[in-house]
Amino acid sequence: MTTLYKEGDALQAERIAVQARRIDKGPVAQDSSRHRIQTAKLRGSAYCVIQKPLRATVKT
Amino acid sequence: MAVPTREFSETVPHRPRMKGAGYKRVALRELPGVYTHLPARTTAAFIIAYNTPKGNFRAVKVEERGWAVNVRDIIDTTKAELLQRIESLEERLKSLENSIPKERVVILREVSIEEAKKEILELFSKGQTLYYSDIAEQLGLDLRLVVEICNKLQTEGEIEVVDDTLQRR
Repeated sequence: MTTLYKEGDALQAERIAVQARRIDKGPVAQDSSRHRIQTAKLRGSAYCVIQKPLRATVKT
Repeated sequence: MAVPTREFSETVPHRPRMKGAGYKRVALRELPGVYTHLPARTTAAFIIAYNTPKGNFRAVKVEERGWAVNVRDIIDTTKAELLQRIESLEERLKSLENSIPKERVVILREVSIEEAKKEILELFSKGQTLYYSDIAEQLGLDLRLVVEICNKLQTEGEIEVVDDTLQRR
C-alpha cells in the first residue's frame, strides 16, 4: 500500500476513513440535482485511508 | 424626556336625585408613573394601535402639548417581548442541540502489534464485514495501526476485501 505525502496528492474513493487532531466542517455545496457535497478540513497529524469492506477469508 | 402628565375626561354624576341627569366634566388629575412625550411626528394611527389591548401602551393626552406614553408601560411591554423572544430562542437552541450528534470519545489503548492482531482476528472470526474505521472504533485502536495490521492479514490470506459493489452500509 502506498502512502502519499506530497502537496497535491489526492485520494478519490467512495469511502475514506480519516483521523486528525482537528476537523473543521466547511460549507455545504450544491452538487448536481439533489446531491449535496460537504466539505471539511483536517488539521494536525491528519491521516486518511481508502477503505473497503473486509471479512475473514472463507477457508475450504 | 420624562414628563408628568394629567388625564382628561371623567364622567361625574350630577344631581343623583334626578334620573338621567348628569354630564361629562373634564377633570384633571395627576397620573401615577413617569410619562414621556411621543415624537412630534407620531400619528393618530400609531396612538390608536398602541392603545389597543395588544399594544399594552396607554397613550394619554397632555394639556396642549400632544400625546405621551407611560414609561412603565413601555418597560413592561419591552420586558414581555424580550422574555418571549428569549423563550423562543431557548426552544430553538434546544432543538439545535438535539440535532447535533453527540461527540463520542474513544480512548485509544496502547497494545502491542501481536495483541492487536489477535483482537482483530477475533473480531473477524464472528463473521462480520468490517471497515478499518469500525475496527478502530470497536477495539479502541489507532487507525494507522489497524490499517497496518489489516494489510498484513490480507497478504497472509486471513482476510479479504468484499468485492460486492452493491454493498451499502
